[in-house]
Amino acid sequence: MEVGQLQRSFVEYMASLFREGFLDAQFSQLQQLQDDSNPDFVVEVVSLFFEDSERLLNDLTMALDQPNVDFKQVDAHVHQLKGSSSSVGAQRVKNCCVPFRNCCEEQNTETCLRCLQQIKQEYLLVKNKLQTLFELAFFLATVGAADCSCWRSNSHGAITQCLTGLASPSEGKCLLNSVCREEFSFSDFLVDHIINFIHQIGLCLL
Amino acid sequence: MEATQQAERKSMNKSTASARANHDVRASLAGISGLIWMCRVQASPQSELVKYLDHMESCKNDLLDILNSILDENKIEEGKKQLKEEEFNMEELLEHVVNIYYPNGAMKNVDVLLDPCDGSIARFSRVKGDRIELQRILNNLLQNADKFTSEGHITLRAWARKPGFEESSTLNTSNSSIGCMPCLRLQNDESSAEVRVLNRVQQDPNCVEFIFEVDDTGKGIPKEKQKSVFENYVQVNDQTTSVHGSQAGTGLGLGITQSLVRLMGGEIGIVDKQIGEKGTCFRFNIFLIASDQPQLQEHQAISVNCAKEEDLESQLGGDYISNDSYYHSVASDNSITSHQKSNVILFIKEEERSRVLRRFMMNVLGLKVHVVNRHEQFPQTLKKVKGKITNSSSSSCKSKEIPLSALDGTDIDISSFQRRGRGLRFILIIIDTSDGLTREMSRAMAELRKDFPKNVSLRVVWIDKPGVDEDKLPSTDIVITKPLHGSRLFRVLKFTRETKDETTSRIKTQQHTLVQDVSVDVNGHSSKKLPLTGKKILVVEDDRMLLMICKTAVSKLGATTYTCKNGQEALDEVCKGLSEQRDIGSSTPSPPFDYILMDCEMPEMDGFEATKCIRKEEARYGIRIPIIAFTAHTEKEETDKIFQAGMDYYLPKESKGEEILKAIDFIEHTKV
Repeated sequence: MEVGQLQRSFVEYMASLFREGFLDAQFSQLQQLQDDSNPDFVVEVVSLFFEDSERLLNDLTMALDQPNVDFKQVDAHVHQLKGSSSSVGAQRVKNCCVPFRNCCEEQNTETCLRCLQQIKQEYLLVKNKLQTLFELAFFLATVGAADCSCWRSNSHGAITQCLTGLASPSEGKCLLNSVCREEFSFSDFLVDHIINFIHQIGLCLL
Repeated sequence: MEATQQAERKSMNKSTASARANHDVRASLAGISGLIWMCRVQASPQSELVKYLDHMESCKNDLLDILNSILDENKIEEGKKQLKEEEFNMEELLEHVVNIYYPNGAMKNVDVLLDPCDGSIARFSRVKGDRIELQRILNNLLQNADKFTSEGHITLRAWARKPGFEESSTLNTSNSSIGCMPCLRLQNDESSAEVRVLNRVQQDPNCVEFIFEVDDTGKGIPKEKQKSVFENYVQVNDQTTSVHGSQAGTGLGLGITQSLVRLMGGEIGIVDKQIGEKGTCFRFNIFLIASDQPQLQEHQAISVNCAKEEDLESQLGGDYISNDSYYHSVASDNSITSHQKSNVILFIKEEERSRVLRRFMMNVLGLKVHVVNRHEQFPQTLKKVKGKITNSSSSSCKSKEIPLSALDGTDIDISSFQRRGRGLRFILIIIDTSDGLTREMSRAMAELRKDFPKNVSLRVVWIDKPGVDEDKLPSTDIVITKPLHGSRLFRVLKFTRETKDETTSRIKTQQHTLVQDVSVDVNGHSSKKLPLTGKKILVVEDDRMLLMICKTAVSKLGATTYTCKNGQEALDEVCKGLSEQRDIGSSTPSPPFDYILMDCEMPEMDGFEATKCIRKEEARYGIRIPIIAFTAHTEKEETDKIFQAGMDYYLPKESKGEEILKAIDFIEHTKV
């Protein structure tokens, strides 16, 4: 497995997200705010975005399910969703919000429901894309570090074992857990992502 | 004949042999050096191996040092040592050398200080001579003092004077500020090289004699051993502490030191201490070529009697010999009489340092010094001093007015003003807070600052830690780190010569040089300054994600960021910041934040409401903090609302680094 190859696929993947309009310039600005002293910044911000959005989407679903729909409330939720998706750079989600607000003004429940459906779809899409992007990034970080001379032999072995499926998933998880934490002080968050990714995609990269 | 020739041959052989040995030993040491380096490359960074390699390296360095000192001694003995002549700064050298030993001393509670004596070094600080060898002499003496002293202090004293022509070969050691010391005679020495140097330097009209003392409170050297310490390879008590290899020493140090001192035309000896004083005091003198500093004046004996009005200093009686000579002195038109109104309150933990500073400030600078020895005395001393100046300032105010035009920098001659004895008064408080600051002391400080007479300058110098949160200190306060001697001391003393308006205008630059100023950016590297370095910014936003983005963006630009979740919290923060200023009693409160980034829509209290309340509170202090609104709406009615509430600018909610910076720039440029 070649690290260079992995890196290229990562870059290509990211470019496609921009090209297809999932992400816009605001996301790039977020990336620029990340640095060595703040290495999990983008992931943390996007995680907050996921949490907030899911909450809002739930609220919207409930609000539109009422016999007497409070359109002012619905509009307020959409407004908030528009703000956060815009800040994070989730362009397609943001773009769904404008027609949604028009529907609210018209006080039309049906069109609102359709807008909600659309926004949910866009949200799930971008969520999936971003998660894959992160996992690819994390994996690169771990595997890329294999080339460093500070990598100890047992840790390299652990990763390889997981990749080739030699260790059972739970053993692999244990190994990786200890390696990632001791060697690199990865947070739980990152470790989970790495492990997920390895088990989802690992084999096809070999 | 045969015997002489043989002796000569032996001596020659010895020289060649030692030269060869020197070469061989060096080659082997170089080999070891290279091998260590190669091992290091192959070793893994955090391993035990690296630690062993480090140790090996330091042993190798020690060997090299020993070799060098043996060779140097040979060179000097053979009269082959040549002294270099380069220009250097004596004050810097002294401070540098003392500061090398300061941390070591601090670790075992031994204070290492530089005593300015009569301040004469400052006058002759530009010298020409062999800096490295002089440093070696001082190093050797200080190192010995450090080795043998486990409590008390080590003092380096230095003073200079123009030699009288008849003193070319004897050392006249009487010095009024230090006291009588036994005379040391230059020993007759056959070495021709020394005699040549002696004559040359001492015949130069710019020749200046420098006298140094290294005084410690350590083990001391018994009288019977004192002569022999200067002999090579003799050590007193070499069984003592030998923690590191390098401390063992070869017993060559003082021998070389003596040879070097003689090479520089002087002599070194041990000075007898008073009965009951322990430790050793080495004194030596050398002759160097020094240029007289042009800006500084000669010794001036100023009689205090010329000042007729109520004068704190005259209560002491007697004359002072004031010497204008501390370096980097401000334009000398501030004449000496300005000192006479200056009071210094000195609270320094280290006894000897406190004594030395007091002596210097009183005898040499003519300041009135109140020494506080224990923190219980601090409040009453402050009260006493404030009482005195309040009384005398109120009476002098009646009789003499200082026209305001004299303070605004127009061409009224301040110095002539002061020469008439009407100098601006000054109080300088130097507080050592390394043991912490008691509540009584803080209260006493606040009490002092309250209703402080307007025509008196007050400056507080905190040593080590400020008494309160550094941000809340008035901007005239200075925080410096120990040790307080040399350049740091002189910078502090320079404040006593400033006029009041100079004090306030100089604030920013002084703090920059004296405060431990390292601008650390988000990467944790001390780097060039970021656009918002040193600024305090409050971000008010209820959405977690947006708050995180904004906070990171602002911090990355270098600012210190504070956050609040809604308008009410923001208002509380601002009110707290403003009232804390008032508690400290500063006459010109500084705003608690440089900018506020405020979201418009928030629960509990929104941005508009919060801004209105903040503006009202600020008005009571005469402050206005620029507030930038974050809004999701850009329609006119929204933006109108923004300005009506009292905000200065607005930005869309998604704004990150660039736009925020632009907004701040805009505000800065439109400020009148």
